[in-house]
Amino acid sequence: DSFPPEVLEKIIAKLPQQSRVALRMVSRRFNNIVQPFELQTLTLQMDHAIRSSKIIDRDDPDKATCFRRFAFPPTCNYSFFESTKIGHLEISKSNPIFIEDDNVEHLTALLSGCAVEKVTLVFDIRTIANLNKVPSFLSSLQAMHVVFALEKTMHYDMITPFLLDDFAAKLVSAGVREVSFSGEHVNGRVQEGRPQTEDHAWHLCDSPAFSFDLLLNFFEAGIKNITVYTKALEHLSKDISKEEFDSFLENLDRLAGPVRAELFLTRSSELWDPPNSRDGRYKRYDNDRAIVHVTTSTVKVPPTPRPAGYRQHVTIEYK
Amino acid sequence: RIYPLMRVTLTTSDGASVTVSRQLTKHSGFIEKAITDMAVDDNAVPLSAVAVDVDDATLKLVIEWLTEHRDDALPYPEKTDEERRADDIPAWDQAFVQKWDTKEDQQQTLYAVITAADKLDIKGLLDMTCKTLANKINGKTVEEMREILQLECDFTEEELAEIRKENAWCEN
Repeated sequence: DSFPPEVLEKIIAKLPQQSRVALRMVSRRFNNIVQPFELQTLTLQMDHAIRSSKIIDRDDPDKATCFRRFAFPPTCNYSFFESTKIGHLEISKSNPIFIEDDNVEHLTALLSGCAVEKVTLVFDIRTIANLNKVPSFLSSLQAMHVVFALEKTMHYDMITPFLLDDFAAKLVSAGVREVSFSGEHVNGRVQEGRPQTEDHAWHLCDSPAFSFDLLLNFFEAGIKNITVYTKALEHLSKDISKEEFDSFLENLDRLAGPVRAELFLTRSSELWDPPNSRDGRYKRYDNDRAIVHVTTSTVKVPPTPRPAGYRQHVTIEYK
Repeated sequence: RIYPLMRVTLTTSDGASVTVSRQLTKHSGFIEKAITDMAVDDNAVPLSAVAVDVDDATLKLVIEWLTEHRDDALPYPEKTDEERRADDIPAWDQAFVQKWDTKEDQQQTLYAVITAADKLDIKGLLDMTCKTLANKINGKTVEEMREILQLECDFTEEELAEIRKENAWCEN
């Protein structure tokens, strides 16, 4: 009973869920320390059947593959937990709960009392205009990392809404410090296919090969860490030019404070200097004020019907 | 750089003095910080005494463990949630804990070593002893856990009923 809380937490962290549950009933002190329950991942997915039951993973009894099914939108006041921590709250890309109608309000109520580290939200062309609802939702969850899973970025401009209305500054005010972008295929509802008019055709717009402006906008607002996966911010029909990338690095150099970017870039052959060392570091930008490390490695990606070029994993660290 | 022949004298809570190699004390964040704060010449042999809030018998066990683990890599690697397991205690460490004679002695000694590892900031020893205690608790009933942890139930019946209700969703 004399162990300090951090030692008890170490011991509890090595116990499976069933033993933690039992430990709560040992004494008030353990009950206080074991609470709140921590969930590594909570995935929300729309389904048709409503059933109140829990399904346990046979191979891992600590893991509930389905915790609960419930009516959505909720028909009464209901929240999942009185108080808990969730590592990753993930809106499933299969039958997602989109940010539309009153869904944010419902989700906020369902998750009241939850502190969430990372949140994945799914947007399609119908819902991307509702981005402005995101900062307050993330603030209510105390989330520091948000993943934007964007549907059909190759067909529509899913990027401009991120640059409007000081969205990045609002994210930072909400407590967010890390942002990821991914381009996703979303299952579950009939989506518009390719745009019917050229007005909305992202691939026909005079848009850059990669939305470096968005990265700069987010870094300037105070986001410290950005990860961009393939098909998220890139214009698939264009290669990134050396001038574009150099310009981005020069602008990055003007920012204050450390930032880190992990990018999957589609590059043209002249983007990088030939490798000058065996560890995969291609280029090092030095100047009077800062150093930007650019480290790349070739990434294996499925073949795509696009012009010759390479996808490369690029890590940019600005300190 | 730590020179193997450099020595440091530790004074225990019950007044004993033990002189050990810096090669061992480098694993203790507490002792290394104390030496740094003293700003003594690193070549002083032995260094001025460092007072540790650990009794002589427990410190001897700590030194025995440090001697076996003197070549372990530093800093001790931080574990992610997924890596936090309790079934990977090395054979030497298991035998080290097992030899603490009777069940009651073993328990008391284990608690004393956990406390010492925490006070001296020896991450590897703290990790191993916490795993040992977690393994003792794991799979036991609430009553058995209370016996191992030497705790009395301080809940009311109503409070226990409330916790049982809250726990219901995560019991298989």
